[in-house]
Amino acid sequence: MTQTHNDDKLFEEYIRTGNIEIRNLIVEKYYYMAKVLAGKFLNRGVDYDDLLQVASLALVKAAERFKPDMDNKFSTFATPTIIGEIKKYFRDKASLIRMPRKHYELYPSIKNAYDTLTHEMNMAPTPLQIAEATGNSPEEVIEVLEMVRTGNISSLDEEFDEEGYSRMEALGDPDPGFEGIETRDMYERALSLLDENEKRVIIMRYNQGMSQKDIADNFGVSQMYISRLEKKIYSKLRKKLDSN
Amino acid sequence: MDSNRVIKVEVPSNKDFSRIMRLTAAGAADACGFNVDMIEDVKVMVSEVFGSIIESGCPGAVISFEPAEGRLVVLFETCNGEPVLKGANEMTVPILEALAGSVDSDKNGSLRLVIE
Repeated sequence: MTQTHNDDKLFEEYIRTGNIEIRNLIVEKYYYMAKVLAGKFLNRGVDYDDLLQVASLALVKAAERFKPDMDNKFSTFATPTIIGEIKKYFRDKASLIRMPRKHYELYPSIKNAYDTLTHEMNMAPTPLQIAEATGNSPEEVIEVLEMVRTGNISSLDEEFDEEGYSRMEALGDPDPGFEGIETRDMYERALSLLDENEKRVIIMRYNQGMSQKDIADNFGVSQMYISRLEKKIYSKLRKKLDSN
Repeated sequence: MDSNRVIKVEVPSNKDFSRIMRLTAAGAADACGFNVDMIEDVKVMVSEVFGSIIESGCPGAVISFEPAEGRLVVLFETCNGEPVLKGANEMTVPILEALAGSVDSDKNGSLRLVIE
């Protein structure tokens, strides 16, 4: 279907008056686009009706924003808008954690068996009962049900108790003591790789916080000598620690 | 296109083979390490162009896929040299442009899609 002069007039009329009835006429005229585009995104785990609803709302948005004086035809303008909304819907609504394909394929039959057995027995079935009904192993059933639960992500900002605490507030921080232990362990290992003079330099520099000049005075050498020695020590440590 | 990395399919213009083209497209997209959504998008694009080739009445087409890590190039050429998008409808190009990284029509009528 191509855009006619009359369509342009319809858009111009809508822009001029803002009359919703005219907008609805435009939407009805181009509703086929929503149908066609929704159909192109089938078999991705979302029902056609839901896709059509998203596509239709996007079509309404496109109709409201389109200006016939733009170089584009309405279909050229509306198609990326509708596709963009459909893809956004997939991103927002689809599970954040994707199940492996095998589990994804098993899920519908397991869900169906779960619903049927729950209805028949008036209570929730066991994994074994679902497994017998679907021909899968109980382990597979448990795995799939667990995967589905994992796919439902909770927000860290969500309140989880009556006092309004969020999950974020309940999260612990890394204990700085652990890092200290690790650093100390590394430091002692590094010292054991040095000769006595090198060890003294490092201890003076880092344990006692002395400047290169003070260390040089203590050793009776120039500050430049200590500077070069420090560089040599770092290079030696880097090589030895890397090789370990 | 690097001929050592190209999958070339010559296909008659027949809608019965649309499914085969979608499967080939999915295989090539999978070889690029694309996720399921991107693979589905590639299938949509290939069906769209193949549909336009069928619509144009051209006897057949050669479709070449060049998969690379994170990138797929698909080249469409008709057997009779007619433009690939001759039978395209008003939504074909906007769909391709919305889904592919780049859509280039050549002077000789071929069409090149780059999906990244």
